[in-house]
Amino acid sequence: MNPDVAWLREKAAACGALLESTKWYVFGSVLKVYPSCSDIDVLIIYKTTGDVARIRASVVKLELERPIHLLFMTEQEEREVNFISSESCIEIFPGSSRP
Amino acid sequence: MERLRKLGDVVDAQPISDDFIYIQRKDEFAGEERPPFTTAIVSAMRVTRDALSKVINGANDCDFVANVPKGAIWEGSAIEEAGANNLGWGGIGELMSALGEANVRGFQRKEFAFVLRGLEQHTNVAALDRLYDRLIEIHRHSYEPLKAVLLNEYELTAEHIRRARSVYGQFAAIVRTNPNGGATTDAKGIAKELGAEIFQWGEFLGRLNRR
Repeated sequence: MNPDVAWLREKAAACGALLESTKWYVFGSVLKVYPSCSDIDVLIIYKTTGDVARIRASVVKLELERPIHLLFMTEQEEREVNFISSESCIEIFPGSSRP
Repeated sequence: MERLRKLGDVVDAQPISDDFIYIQRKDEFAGEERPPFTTAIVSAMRVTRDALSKVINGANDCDFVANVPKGAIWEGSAIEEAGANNLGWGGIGELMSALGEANVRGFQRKEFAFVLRGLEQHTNVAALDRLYDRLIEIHRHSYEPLKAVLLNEYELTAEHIRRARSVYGQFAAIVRTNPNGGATTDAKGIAKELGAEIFQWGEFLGRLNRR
């Protein structure tokens, strides 16, 4: 597995466990290139704005290790733009599909 | 530093003191050398005029100021200071983009340069007040001033708009500077709740002619 994705999967499990209603996905160049000079793109599907605030607070610490770009969408927004499918996103929390 | 050295345009990057890096570079494809330059490195969630003044009056001359934290904002007065000293400015992404330019001085994100040029050429624009990197107050010959926030996301979501309001404060217009993608229904709903309208760039130029 791409080490960047493995690293993020482990961190997402730690952060996401606090917010079980969220789903985390990776997409973009991190799935194609290693090592990548770009940010790690992460899609987070959330239910409440409180979830967003808590995740931002958690991810600030991760960004000291790797550059991360967060994209937050509600379930309705994701359905509307079909982002997971169109960007071939890989679920890293809570799912177990592997790149 | 390691990220910089991995880039095809970079021949070498050496720290010359705690907060400055000397970068030697070439055209990655043609192989020709480009003029080296010095970038100052700052690390602030909010870049102020004071922060810029310290860099400008620091131990080394520099051509560019790069701010490391993602999601940081630049105050308008800091941008003005950078402009007055003809410095390139931005985050690490902008530093990487500037590597491809013959001259990094005066560089700013291409998105910003495009918008500012368009606004300056608009017949109803009298003056621009850059309040933050992404927030501009537009003074018009006819009608009252209008505050606009520039957002570049491909898919503009509700959270992007809430975040912009939280970071930049009040604005009446949200200008999508990305010509592709669009705004989600939730994003449009939040914008309405906040009393703002979402525009594509061309639509916004038309909006400037209306009260």
